[in-house]
Amino acid sequence: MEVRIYGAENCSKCNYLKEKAEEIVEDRNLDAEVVKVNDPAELAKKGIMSTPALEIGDEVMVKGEVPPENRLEEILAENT
Amino acid sequence: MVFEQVATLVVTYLGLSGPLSEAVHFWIYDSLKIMAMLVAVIFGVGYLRTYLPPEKIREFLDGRRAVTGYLLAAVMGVISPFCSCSTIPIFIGLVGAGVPFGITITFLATSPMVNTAALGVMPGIFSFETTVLYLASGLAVGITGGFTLNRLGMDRYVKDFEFGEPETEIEDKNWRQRTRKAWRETREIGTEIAPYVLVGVGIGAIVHGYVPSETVQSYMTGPLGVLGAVVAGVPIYTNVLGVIPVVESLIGKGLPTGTGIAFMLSVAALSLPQFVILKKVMKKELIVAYAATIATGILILGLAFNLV
Repeated sequence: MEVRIYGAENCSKCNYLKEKAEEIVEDRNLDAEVVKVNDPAELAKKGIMSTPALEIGDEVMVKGEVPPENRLEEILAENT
Repeated sequence: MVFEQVATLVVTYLGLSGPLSEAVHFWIYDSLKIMAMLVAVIFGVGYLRTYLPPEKIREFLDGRRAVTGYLLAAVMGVISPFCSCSTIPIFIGLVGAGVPFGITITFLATSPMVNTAALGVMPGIFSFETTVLYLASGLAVGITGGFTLNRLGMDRYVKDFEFGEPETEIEDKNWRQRTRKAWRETREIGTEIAPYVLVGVGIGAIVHGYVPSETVQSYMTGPLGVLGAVVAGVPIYTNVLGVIPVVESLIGKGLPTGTGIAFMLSVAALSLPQFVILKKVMKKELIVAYAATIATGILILGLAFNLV
């Protein structure tokens, strides 16, 4: 399952969310690959206005914030 | 004030004197003062901003025309998120929702130039009048910039995007969730901005302790000083909060206020890395016109303020 993190290259919160998601995927041995999407065209396609955003499958689960770690863990564990 | 006492205590403990003592005192005092004010302002604004997610900004601006639209876009730009990287997705969302081009540009230009953290910190560093002047300048440059580019028909140079269904659902939060979100934002933004502030105050301290007033008054005043300030802002990439202490020191040494404001606006709105980001959403013709319009606006205002 692909976990997509949307946000610009210089968005530190977005890069932090990607790192945290990768850590959780590795620690919990989840079957998921975390990828960062920097292209604004992709944001436009999804209608996302707040970054960072986290998408699993076709569903945007987080937008505009880095969720607390336990919440992020819950999202990743339940949806991947 | 406690920060003043801490700075004096450290300088006395280290046995410093002369320009070094002045510089170290300035660095400690200003760093503590700015960081304390920042935490308070970011938290307060972060809390209020939970009531204004980007979807609401789009709702406010959608269907607006002329004066109200431009004015609202400028105000929304001021209270928009602190990071310019967050402004681009909002800009795309506004374009996708069909908000008129000039209004979206006003939002895009005002957002990095005037932010609420700077407005919260400035009265404690400069005077209240300078803060109001800075706010008015940013709004004026953003509004005239958007209006001018619209009249020039530059909308054809926005890159083509395929727009998906915009999210309309706005999550409702209770006060506890809002407080938590604001506090998280304070931590994240505070950590991100702190190095810029410390370096900015460091440069301000060197200016304060070592640069003679005569140098500033001889080389940085007059119309060429404003032009120099606008050009100097281009290669610098920092948060506007890192520039405030530098400008504070320079104004203390005799830099005209208009020149100082021009430098702050230029660093915020005209930095090269900012244009690299804009290149993803605009064609180069629009980027050049955008930079030229904003630079001209800042230059005119800087010159005008120095004359008054």
